[in-house]
Amino acid sequence: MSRAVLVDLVRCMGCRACQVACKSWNDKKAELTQCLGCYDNPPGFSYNTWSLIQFNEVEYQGQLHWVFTKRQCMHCEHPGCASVCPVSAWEKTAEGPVIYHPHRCIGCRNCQYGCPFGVPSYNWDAVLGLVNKCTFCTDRTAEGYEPACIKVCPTDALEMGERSQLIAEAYRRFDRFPDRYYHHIYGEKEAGGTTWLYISPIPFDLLGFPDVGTAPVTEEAVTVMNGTPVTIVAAVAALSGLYWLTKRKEQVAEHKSGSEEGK
Amino acid sequence: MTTIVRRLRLPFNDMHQPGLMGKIVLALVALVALSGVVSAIYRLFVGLGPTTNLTDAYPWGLWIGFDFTLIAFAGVGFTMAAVVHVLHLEQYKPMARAAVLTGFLGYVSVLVILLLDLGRPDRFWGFLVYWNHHSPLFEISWCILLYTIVLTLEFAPLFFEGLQRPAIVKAIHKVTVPVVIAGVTLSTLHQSTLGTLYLAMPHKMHPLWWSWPLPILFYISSIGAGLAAMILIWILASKVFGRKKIEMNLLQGLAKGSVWVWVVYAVLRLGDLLMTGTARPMFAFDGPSVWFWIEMILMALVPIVLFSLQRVRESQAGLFIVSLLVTLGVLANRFNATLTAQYVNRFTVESVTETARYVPHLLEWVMQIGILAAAVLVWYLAARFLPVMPEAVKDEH
Repeated sequence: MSRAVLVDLVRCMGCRACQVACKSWNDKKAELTQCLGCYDNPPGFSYNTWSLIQFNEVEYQGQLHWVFTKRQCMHCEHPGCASVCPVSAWEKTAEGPVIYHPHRCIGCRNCQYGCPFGVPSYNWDAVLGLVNKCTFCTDRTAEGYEPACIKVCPTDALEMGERSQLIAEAYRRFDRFPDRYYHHIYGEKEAGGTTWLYISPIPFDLLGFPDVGTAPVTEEAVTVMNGTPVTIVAAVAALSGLYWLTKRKEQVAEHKSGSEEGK
Repeated sequence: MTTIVRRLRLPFNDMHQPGLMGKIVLALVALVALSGVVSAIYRLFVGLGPTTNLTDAYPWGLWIGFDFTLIAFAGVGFTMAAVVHVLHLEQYKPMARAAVLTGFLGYVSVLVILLLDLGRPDRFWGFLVYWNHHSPLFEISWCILLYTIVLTLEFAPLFFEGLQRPAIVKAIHKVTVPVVIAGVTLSTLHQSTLGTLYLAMPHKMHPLWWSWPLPILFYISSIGAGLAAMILIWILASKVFGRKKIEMNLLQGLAKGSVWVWVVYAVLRLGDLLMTGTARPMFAFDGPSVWFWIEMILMALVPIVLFSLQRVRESQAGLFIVSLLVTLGVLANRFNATLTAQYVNRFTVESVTETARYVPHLLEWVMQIGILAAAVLVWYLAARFLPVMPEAVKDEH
């Protein structure tokens, strides 16, 4: 069974209990921040902040919307981070979460470029630095508990379940409250599908969700990489051919000049 | 240096005695190299935070830009090996050794900088154990490792010739052709895979840089950069070692060849932008568009036009300056792919607080330039004590 989460931004009231629960369960340090003139705090992901709420004041169809977006790793079905990692430090598990094998990681930070959502963060303060991100609380789920953020959500804005059932549930809410929702599930098809699914009162681009298309992030690169054996065979064949051809040409030329001298 | 060689009873011939000016320059280069090594040791003890200005918004910076340029520049190794041993253009044989030496030192310096760039330099061997064959960086790591071995093999005859061990030289020469073919194949793979590395970030790159032919573009430009490197190094080394006569006919041949290389590059790149309808940003004349034109002018327009002129090809200064501009163009291209073309993640602290910018830390420069200086110094010493440049040199003295 594949675990997934439905994030209903219509239900979220921006209490940030999820953010606090994440820090406290995962023993992540607090960050020294400053007032930015908004509620965002801390303002973005970091090595110590895996989950956070962003506050969006957006005008849409003549109406002001105050939408709170809970951000964390999307746990993609085809994760870019895992695709580009040279040492397989990221792994997409059958149960849903994208997990990290810190003992393999060499700290090259390619995953920060492979992820279209800007999730993996590097530990810039460490002498021997690694990256990090939301774990989907695999240590809790292994024991049959919900992830910390989902456990504490007071409005059921976060719900965990079977992916297909959650998608059906989202469509049910669209049907039931057609005016409250923008009828699109972000993550159903985005980047080849994500495990964290979002529904919202307004279009997702207004909330800064990137337009990542519906193909897996690294589709093109994987196609090229799969062609590697062909490239090797083609290169060796072409080079050997050229070697033989130019050598033969030379020999023929030598032979000719030799026989001419003989006359 | 001569005294050391003599005292160690090494049978090397000293082919160059630098004058006072030369000695001062050598001392300065050594000083720069030393400061690089000292900062590198400091970086290993304190981590990347205090020694670089890299952030989650810009996880890669100056070092990656230089690494990827240097790999293209070190493409001189496989390009010249192919010219001499595969295409049998035997007249270029005198240049092959300088090319291999440049390739070898280029790759070694890249490896040193990459090691410093890793968060866990102590785990550099990770790719040998934990495989991920979809990862461009995995393939690049393997190819660079194997190609460095190939370059060592290609360089070895020269070393043993210097030591006057003809038997070993003869044995290595027997495997030259398969080694060269392996080397060119490995280079074809990783030079193009550096492009695939960027192909894996479609949503993070400006459309002027992200396109399907990226791997091919990186490959072609490494051949062009290699030819430019050969011209630059040949002229420079000939000057330093006081060779009175420079093989202008050979350099002209390289220049002519590079015209065709850059024509293919320009047609492929501009053609792709036009065909896919992403040419519009070229004329936006914002930062990326200006940088795009800078690199296209330096990599395509300059060599195609100027190397087509006989007057430029026949002048040593012309050959040198155009090759230098091409090298700067490739440098701009690799830096643009790493920095200019990258959209910064919206969800990093730096982008939310609008502080996302990257200006390399002073120590990043010191380490980078220090490693390059060390490579130059080793190149000079190798060419001084080993038969890198053709024999004619000694007769001049």
